[in-house]
Amino acid sequence: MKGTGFSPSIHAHPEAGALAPEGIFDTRFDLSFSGIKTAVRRYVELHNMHPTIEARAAALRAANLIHAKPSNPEALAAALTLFDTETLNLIASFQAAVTQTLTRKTLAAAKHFGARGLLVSGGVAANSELRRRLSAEAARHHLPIAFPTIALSTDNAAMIAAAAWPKFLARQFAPDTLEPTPQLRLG
Amino acid sequence: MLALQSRHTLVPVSSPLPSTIDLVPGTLILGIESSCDETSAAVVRDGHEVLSNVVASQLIHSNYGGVVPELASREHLRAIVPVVREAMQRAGVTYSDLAAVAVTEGPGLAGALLVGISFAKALAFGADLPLIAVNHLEGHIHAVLMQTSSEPWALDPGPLLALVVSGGHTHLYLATRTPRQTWHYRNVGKTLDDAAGEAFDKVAKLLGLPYPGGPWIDALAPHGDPKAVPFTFAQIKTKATGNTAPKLRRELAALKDPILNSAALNSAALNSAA
Repeated sequence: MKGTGFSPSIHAHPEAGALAPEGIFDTRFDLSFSGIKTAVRRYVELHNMHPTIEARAAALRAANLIHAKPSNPEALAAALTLFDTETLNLIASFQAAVTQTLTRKTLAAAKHFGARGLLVSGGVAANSELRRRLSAEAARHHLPIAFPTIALSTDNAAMIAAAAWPKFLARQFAPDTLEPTPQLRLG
Repeated sequence: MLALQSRHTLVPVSSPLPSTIDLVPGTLILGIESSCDETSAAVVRDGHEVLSNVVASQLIHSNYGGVVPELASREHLRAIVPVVREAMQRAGVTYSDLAAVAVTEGPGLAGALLVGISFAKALAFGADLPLIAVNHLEGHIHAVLMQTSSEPWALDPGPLLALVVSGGHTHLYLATRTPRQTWHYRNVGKTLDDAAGEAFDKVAKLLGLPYPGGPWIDALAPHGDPKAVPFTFAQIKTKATGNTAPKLRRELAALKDPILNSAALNSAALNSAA
């Protein structure tokens, strides 16, 4: 799949996404995150950060922080003393790049398809920088935007019951033979 | 509606409601979710009022730095009965108060999904309730819709753009309400490789952060300079190669489109390393 974003057919039909029937191959609003993960790995290797990382992991274990949550201010303050500027800069730059990419792509798609509003969900929707960037860009484009509460961002059953409601009203019930579909798609 | 708002944030409801049907009007659906590493059960009234939402997160995976599918299945098996019981108790309802059982049918880990589905099928059969299969991704979209569906802009017939972004998924959907009041989805964008949350998890693991690493990256990032490492996407091929190859020239021309492609992102590796 890599590199398919630039297939000539897409350039030949710039409006393909808007006009074509559903299911037509269109990659304009596709994303990729494996490259930036590799970029971080390469950065770590080239800047010889492995000894520091291992020392820090050991210190986090010793301080019993390895299962701690950063929402606990004491745990965060204690952990922060173990991080050097170089690592913090790398973390900040990585998060900025990922959230910026997601924001740009989402707004570009919303504009292209004439969306009336934005809905953002999933575990990463709990990320504060993503919320900030998306909210700011949505406001700039006068688009309403909604995020779930943090508890409903990550996997939970309330959202399953909520999604079942319109199906219940439409009497769309599952057969007794229902089985897991690990690769189930939507849309 | 307003009085119900406070319930949306809850995980536990502290004082259980009386279980008589007169005091629990509306239609109750029991939801069950077990697609990855959370075992969860919830009772929701009329599609938007959360009476209970119990989530058991599997801590066992922290020893491995990622979700181990076989362990996830076993943990779901251990948790499913107490989690559902707890959700029913917190909602203050009995099985005879329910109108339907809803369960995640996918996508997710096969063994993990199987636990939730088997439980839901057995419960639906035993309590003589209809079973509703829910796509996990549609569930994520409804996590927002259930809190916004009464707002004027969400009632607009035009499409809404939904970004579903997690450790397993990065998708853009156009969501449109059908005349039957169900929803229609069109996938208009997706990740070609890793999910965004997967990148967070992997980078956190690489940097030796506690598990799960996403919230740690979020908490640590404000203490660093986001411009310190230039993870830029477009320029690097020029820098690295002089942009002589025709294929690269085409790619660079295409990059003027709002397309972010994995080859370009991989180039960011070289760029930041240089």
